[in-house]
Amino acid sequence: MKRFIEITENAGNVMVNTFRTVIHMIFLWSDTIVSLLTVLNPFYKGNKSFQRQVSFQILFTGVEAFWLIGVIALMCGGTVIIQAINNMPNFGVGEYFGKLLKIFVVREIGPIITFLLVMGRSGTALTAYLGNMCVNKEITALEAMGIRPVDYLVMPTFVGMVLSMICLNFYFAIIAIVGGLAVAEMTIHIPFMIYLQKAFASISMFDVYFILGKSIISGMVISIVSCFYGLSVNNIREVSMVVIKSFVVSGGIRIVIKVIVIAAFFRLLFPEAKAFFG
Amino acid sequence: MKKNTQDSKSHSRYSIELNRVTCRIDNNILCENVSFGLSFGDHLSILWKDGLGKSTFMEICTGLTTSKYKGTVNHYGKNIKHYASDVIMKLRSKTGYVFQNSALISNHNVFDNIALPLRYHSQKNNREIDHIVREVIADYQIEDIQFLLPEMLTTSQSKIVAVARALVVKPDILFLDEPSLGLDHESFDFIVDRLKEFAQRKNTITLLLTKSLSLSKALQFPVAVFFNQKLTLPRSFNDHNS
Repeated sequence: MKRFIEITENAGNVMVNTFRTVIHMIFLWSDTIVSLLTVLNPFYKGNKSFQRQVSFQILFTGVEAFWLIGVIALMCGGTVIIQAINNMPNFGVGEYFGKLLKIFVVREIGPIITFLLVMGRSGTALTAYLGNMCVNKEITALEAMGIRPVDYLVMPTFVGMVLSMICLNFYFAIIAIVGGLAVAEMTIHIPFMIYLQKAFASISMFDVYFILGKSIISGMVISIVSCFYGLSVNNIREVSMVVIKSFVVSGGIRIVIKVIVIAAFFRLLFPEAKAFFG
Repeated sequence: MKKNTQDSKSHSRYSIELNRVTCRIDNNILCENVSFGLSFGDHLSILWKDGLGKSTFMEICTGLTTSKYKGTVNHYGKNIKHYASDVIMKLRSKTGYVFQNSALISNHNVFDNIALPLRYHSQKNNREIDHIVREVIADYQIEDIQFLLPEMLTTSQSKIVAVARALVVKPDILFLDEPSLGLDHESFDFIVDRLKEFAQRKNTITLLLTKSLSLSKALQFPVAVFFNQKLTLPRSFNDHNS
């Protein structure tokens, strides 16, 4: 009986802590939005470091990741296209090549790989950086100067991360399709222009908005979760733990959001499903 | 300055006031029933041994810590816990704080570290701010290190930059947490001169926490001693108040 009570108590504590964490993350997100709206107010003359901080974040998250994302997009696109061109006619669905490319590469693989790469590269670095700032009392120093860490660190990171994610996702989609087709042309000698036309003909404005939405959500999740865990560090031993936590939790949140969105808007988001599954 | 007393009815006289502050951390009593008040023109050194919670006490005095103690800390006549966070941040824009470890922002160079509070709070444009910072850098004779990151600085250089950053906003109140730690003689004299200059300005307050008797002597502020969790203000000081 005592053991049962202990287990129940521990489970309860975990639930309460999880709930508390979620609430604090939502507060951090809302604080960030308020801070962003304040800076965007044309009559506001404080926080002149905003543009500098955002540029730094875009440089670190977006520009410096261009090569990495480009190479991976090329490999993904090439693999998917070669496999699709070789195998789809065997199942009698060769004419759906463009749509498959759109659903698989542009809508799904692209945003997921970009999210994982940015989270693994920039999100974890951001968590470690903020954690070290906490340990070195730099965050306390900012507060002592009357500078809110949300205004100075979280909000510019948030903006930089969202802008970078938008650029990287579109970049991934373009490189995956164009580069992938080029790779396929070189390896299995397909007519490049015909397949390129097929691919782009199937992409609509809805897909553009879809990638945009996914990019914004991914950018928000990465920046808020990384900053939340980074700012919660109390001592140097916690830094490595919060880095892992931020990676896992942001991945988890991204999946939860995806499942909720898919469950709610499945028919709207995937009209092509009718074509495949009747 | 108010003497170490329990009665604090006339709290509005003081810009910074501690009333019966008791702080415990993990069953260790840091300080017990500490009360004092500082009004404009007051400068106080508190001698405090190393490792007994000097930095925590300083954070309590500044309002950076609001949860670890009993008693009240008033800034400008109002309990620090009752201020809205925006108001506190506004008040802190006219406060300088020199940390024991300097606490310079690690990915900003010296120039940006000094410009940081101005860029955030000042209504001036970036050009004017850069001009002010260049003047401060020339005044502090740190032109040769202005584009270095904090990790490349010596302890003395870090301290000088920390003092410059604290004073660049022309604060009304200056909190100093062991500012002379690790300084060479030349830097020590330089910082003492700067702090004396600050203290000579009208309507300013300095609260210095240090273990260094030589710094207290050099600054010639009234000296309080912290011993056995109690704060003892100087006799001359009490006589003056009574």
